[in-house]
Amino acid sequence: MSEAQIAKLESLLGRIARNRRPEPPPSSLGLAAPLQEPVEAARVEIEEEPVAPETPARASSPTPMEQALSAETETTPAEPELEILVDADEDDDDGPVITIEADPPEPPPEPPLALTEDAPTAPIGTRAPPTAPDPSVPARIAASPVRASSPVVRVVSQPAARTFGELLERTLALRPR
Amino acid sequence: MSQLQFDPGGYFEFDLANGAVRTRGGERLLMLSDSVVAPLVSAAVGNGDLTSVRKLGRQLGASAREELGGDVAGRAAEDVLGCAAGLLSLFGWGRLQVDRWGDALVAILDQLPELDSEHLGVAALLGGLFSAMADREVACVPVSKDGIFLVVDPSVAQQVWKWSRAGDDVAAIVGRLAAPEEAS
Repeated sequence: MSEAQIAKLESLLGRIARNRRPEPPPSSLGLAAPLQEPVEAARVEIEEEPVAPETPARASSPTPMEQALSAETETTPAEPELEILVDADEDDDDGPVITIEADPPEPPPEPPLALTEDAPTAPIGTRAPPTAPDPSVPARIAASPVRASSPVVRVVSQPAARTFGELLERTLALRPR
Repeated sequence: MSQLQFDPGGYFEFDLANGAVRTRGGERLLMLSDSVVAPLVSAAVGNGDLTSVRKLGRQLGASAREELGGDVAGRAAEDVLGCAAGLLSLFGWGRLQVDRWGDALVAILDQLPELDSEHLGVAALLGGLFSAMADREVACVPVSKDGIFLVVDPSVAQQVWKWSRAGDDVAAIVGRLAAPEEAS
């Protein structure tokens, strides 16, 4: 929202406050008394006030409205367009109702995910702060499970000794482990 | 499956006219009581010289080779061991059985004569028997009081004997032995 729009909005709100009539006394049933005269819809004209480029419209101290609007505009990447609707209801004595509608700002595009060590894996608020390891407590290293690319056991059949010579040769070849 | 059985029929020849006992191979034998042989074997064990008993075993092994036609290495193990068991039974040394524990051979001699408390005499006899049949030096180490002997190379006989004296049974001793590629 530009400063000119803010100034116009403030002037409009001031005029509405000045034109507000006193509240009628409440009836016994709590209902507002019917109006004797028909009330025509008030038309609010927004006058374009020229703003000099050298003199900024913002006052020295920002109003709460300005602060709220500035806070919104700082978080939204694109400035939403305001649509000011003035609704003068016949049954409403409070004066015309001003509704400011703004198109909801589109959410900022999410940055592409990158698998880097700096990429957070959890919201920052929920992550525990890094602490130094306690040397008195053993820390278990979670090793990844071993996956064999081939059968672990390979059975190689050893032909049984058939002759006495083979049998005795194997026997005499045994040595202490 | 064994294709040859040792036939003890007509193995001994009692020449009563000349007062001699011979085998069918022509060797002369002396018939001795175990009560006589036992003190001799015990004395040999005490002296640490069982050469005579081992020589007796070699003669039995040589007889087995003759019965098998000379070459025993290429024969089926059942044939050779069956012949050796038959000869041992014929000479009264007990009933021989051989078990395989992997690559290890374990000789079990039932009804063996009580020559010495450690069965070292019978061990020397069996060592001579297998050495003659294999045509290389073989040692048999007693690993049990019940006539169980482990057939090993003479270079590891002392170690096996220590294990046995320390209380290891056959399974433990066999488990301590391995083929050369595994033992190194």
